[in-house]
Amino acid sequence: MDVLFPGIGEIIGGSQREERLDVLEARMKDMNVPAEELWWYLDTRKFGTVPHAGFGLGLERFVLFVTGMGNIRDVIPFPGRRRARSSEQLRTQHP
Amino acid sequence: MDITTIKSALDNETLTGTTITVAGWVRTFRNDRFIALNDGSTIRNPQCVIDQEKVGPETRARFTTSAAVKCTGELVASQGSGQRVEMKVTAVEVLGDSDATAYPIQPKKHSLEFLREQAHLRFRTNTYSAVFRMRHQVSFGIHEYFDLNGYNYFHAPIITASDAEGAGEMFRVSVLDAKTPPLDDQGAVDFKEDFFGRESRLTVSGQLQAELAALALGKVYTFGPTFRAENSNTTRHLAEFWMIEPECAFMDLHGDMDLAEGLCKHLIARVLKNSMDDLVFLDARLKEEEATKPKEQRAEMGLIDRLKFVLENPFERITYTDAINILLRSKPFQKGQFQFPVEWGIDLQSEHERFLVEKHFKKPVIVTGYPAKIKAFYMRTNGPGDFGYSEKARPSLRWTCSSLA
Repeated sequence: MDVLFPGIGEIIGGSQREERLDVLEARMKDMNVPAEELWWYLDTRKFGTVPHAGFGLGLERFVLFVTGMGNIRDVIPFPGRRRARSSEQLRTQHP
Repeated sequence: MDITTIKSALDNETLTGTTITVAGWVRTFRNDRFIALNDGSTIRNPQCVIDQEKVGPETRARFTTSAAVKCTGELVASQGSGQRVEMKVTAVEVLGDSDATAYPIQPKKHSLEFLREQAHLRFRTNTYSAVFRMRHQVSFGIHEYFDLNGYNYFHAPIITASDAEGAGEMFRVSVLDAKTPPLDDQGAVDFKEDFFGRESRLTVSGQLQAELAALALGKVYTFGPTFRAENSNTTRHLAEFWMIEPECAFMDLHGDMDLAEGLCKHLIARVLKNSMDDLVFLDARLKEEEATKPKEQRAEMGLIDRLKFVLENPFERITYTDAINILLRSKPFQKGQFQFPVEWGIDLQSEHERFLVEKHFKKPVIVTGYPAKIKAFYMRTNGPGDFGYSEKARPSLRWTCSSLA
């Protein structure tokens, strides 16, 4: 699920989680997610797995919505002195 | 003498007629008599009236913008200050001078771009003090909502060894010498020599760890800083931001949607209750800003009306397939006005999301049932070919088909 808000777009992204071990392992293989790095995560699907769900909410995007501010740099205490460069710029400057 | 906050001086009616002390920073000093004082407890500035016979010109000259001042006096009913009460000052002390010729923020309207360059002082402006008081209200409201609903606040690690979720977007954390790092047999940097004995990065999400906790504590939420080394030079992205990630055992997607909508509404109700002064100011600020835009780009509702509208109306819940069908029938699609193509299987672009939310439904929208290939590996999938699932048509399939992907 994605929760979309006026003026902001996606404010929450979430899902029910894949609790079936075989389906999860197949999905990880399909998507090149290294199972050996996530053995601890897979363990929860081996020992008493149950359906569960959750989501992520970006605090700053929500604060943008309730304050009516237009730029996310105006709702964090310190917006950073240097403008972040695009990955494109980083590549060309540091090949 | 104890210092009273300006918020209670203005709101607590039992203080009228008593002598109190307030302290804050001078916003303006008018007619060589009236100090507008702000202490950050509220956006409202009470008028502190100086008796020129008791306070000499050399002291009055120090009431410059942003000077720190302590005033003691009687709170009396106000005639024309715009506030219920004002202070008849009997004693005043300058705690910290502010050189008016050097102080960069003048009592006039500055652009937000200018104030972003003065980030260390911008908290002293009405706009930013309002924003950061509200950021507190939202943060505290998040803890309140989850606590009321039986969730445990769970601290996921900030430095993590896991790179399962796209190492390309993660910041590396290392104590190795950047100029002469230890190398392995292949000539690559040997992270076995690094602090944690392996490559470590800043977290992009605490979700996987929160799942572990939820599958033991039942209900948990994380609330902490999160880092993305992606192109963040937009008005919607940050390299360092704060994320809230609840995780709940024995809950399906319908419960997830209810939890998300409940949280949003709890937070909106909280700011409408606790932040009305700041909202009135920000509402007026937004109206001014909107007035500079061409008419067709202006928002239909003011800030406060919009918050009330979102609070009072259920979020629209649609499937991805519904969303695509609405987009395919939309005017902007038929007129070729979307920049990105629309067909089943695409990831919805921001222009598509904005059309759905701002033009079609005109309220928050929850989209479910995305194609698996555009979503993360941990999202629950429906059966093959079952993507057209509609929860309205097949309510009995709640468990097996309630997933996202």
